[in-house]
Amino acid sequence: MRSISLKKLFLLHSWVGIVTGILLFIVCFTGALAVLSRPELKIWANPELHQLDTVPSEKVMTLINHYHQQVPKEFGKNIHVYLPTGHNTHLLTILFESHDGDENYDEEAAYAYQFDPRNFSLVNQYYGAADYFYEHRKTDAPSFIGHFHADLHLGRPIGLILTGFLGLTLLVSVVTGLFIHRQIIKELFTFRRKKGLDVIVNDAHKVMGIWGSVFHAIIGFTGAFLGLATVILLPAAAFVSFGGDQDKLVEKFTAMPETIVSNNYQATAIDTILLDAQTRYPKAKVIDLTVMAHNDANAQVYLRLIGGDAVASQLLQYSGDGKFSKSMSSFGDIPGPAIKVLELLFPLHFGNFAGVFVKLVWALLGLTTALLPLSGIMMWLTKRTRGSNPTLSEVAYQRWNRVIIGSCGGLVLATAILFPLQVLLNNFIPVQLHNGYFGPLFFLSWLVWCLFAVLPINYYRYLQVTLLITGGSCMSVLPLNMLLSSSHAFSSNNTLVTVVDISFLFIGGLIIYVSQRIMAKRQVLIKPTTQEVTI
Amino acid sequence: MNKKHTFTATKRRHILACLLALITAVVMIPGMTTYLPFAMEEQILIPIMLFPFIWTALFIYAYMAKSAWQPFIVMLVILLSHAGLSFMALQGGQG
Repeated sequence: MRSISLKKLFLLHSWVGIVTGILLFIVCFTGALAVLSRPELKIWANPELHQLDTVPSEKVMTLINHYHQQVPKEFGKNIHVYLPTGHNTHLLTILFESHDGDENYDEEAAYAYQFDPRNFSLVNQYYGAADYFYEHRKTDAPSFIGHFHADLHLGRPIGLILTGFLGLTLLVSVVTGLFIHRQIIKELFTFRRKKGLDVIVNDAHKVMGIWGSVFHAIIGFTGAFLGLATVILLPAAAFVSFGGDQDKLVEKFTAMPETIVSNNYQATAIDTILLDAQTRYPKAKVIDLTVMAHNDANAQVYLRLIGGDAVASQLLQYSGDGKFSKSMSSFGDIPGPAIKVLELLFPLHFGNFAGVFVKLVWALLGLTTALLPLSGIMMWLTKRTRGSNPTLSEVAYQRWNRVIIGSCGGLVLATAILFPLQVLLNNFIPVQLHNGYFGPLFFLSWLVWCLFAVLPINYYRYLQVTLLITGGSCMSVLPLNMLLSSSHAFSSNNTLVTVVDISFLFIGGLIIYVSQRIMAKRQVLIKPTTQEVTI
Repeated sequence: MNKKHTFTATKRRHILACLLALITAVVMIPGMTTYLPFAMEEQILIPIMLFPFIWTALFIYAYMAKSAWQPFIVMLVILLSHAGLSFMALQGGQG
């Protein structure tokens, strides 16, 4: 490749990295955590799910039948049941929905009943707009992080467009990065960990970038697709094919078309259907079911399954009498290879296609995607302070470092604080008030930490304190849980809870160790000059 | 590295990469649905899935081309042709 082309690619790589670097870190870091948010961290965060096995199918049917009697007739056409698996709500939720609303609501309205999965007692009931119910469901630390990753809590469409475009810029960075690092084989195995911090950052950037290039490209592509699909891509596609009517397009790709009610009574065999699904796919987990025209001769039941031998989530269709109809993708029974590829985009982005091990690999690789723009910015800054004609003064260099620590380190710190907060909320604050705590604490702690960057403090000390507080927050989870909660690492009889509690302790310890190592390296860099003077 | 020697017409390239590449890639989606020789579902899904690659290619091309007018012409041709195809389809020329 000609040197001018390489120069152009190098500049383009730098520009994209500098402009989007901090935002990309924010999205990728929270994305790495979001991989483990559902169901693992969600189960950990909700004591109701600690002792849970599977909900008895006959109990689900009894509850649906009982509460169907209590809602107006039009609300029996669409019934959604969210099982407490850690993928949706933390409670067993039965939602009776009327798409056309009722005498009080012009929009979709719903009656919702939520039950404690441990004893099936009614915990919460709701009547109102369906959207309001979904938007105000109880959140927890892992769900908060997951939503923040998806749209930065900026709402839709702005948040989705922003994260979608960050996926696109990640793709550009991967493509240009692979071209400019031509000595790929050599750089794959170059990591000089005993050298100074600058060299370590440089080597780490190349090693993480090249080894993880396929992963970064997949995350960039799938992230761009997931962010932009509903906001830009689908409306654009609907423009010609459906005369701009996006609803018609969605209808085309919906797996659950409206069922015509015959008004002939026939009991819907929900228990038989649930048992059949578990027999057909014993390794998969039923996460929710939709009942159309409940207890009608035309009733249809759809079960959404995740895990097992299938890579993507699948939808099983049954007729009301319990007869299995077919298994299909979440988008419906659409032929052709394109839908197969589309189905794969979701598990490839979330890493939820082959158990916890793959999820852990995805989370670690996601952390490297987050560290790439950060190390890139650090390299860019260092380069500009070196040589006989530096373009960046020492003061400006320190200021930039503080900005990075405040924004990126502040995010890590604010995220870490959410987990001990979760333990405290679970033990001191009524569940219905939890939602009000995560946002303010997260954004406030992040903002305060960003504001420290304005002060002329030593950025090494700033980094060390950031890491110490982050590590301390993680380490406090296990003792807090042991002190306050009856269900913790050593008492819950739940391996997941034990592993998560101990992992927090380990990760916290590791972060504190890293902070000490960085300071030790700093001391080594300063000491030789003093020693020379002493000698 | 001197930016002036590396890129010509940097501002125009920024506009091409950040604005025109996006508009072109978006307009290509409905346009492609009119001529792809597949079933309706595939006609819709394939352009959607190609969008990230098309945008990335156009974005990089806007900077890599020897002169800034080259990507401008290429994008303009793609944009106008796909907009025209969409318009014709909407007018009933194609299903």
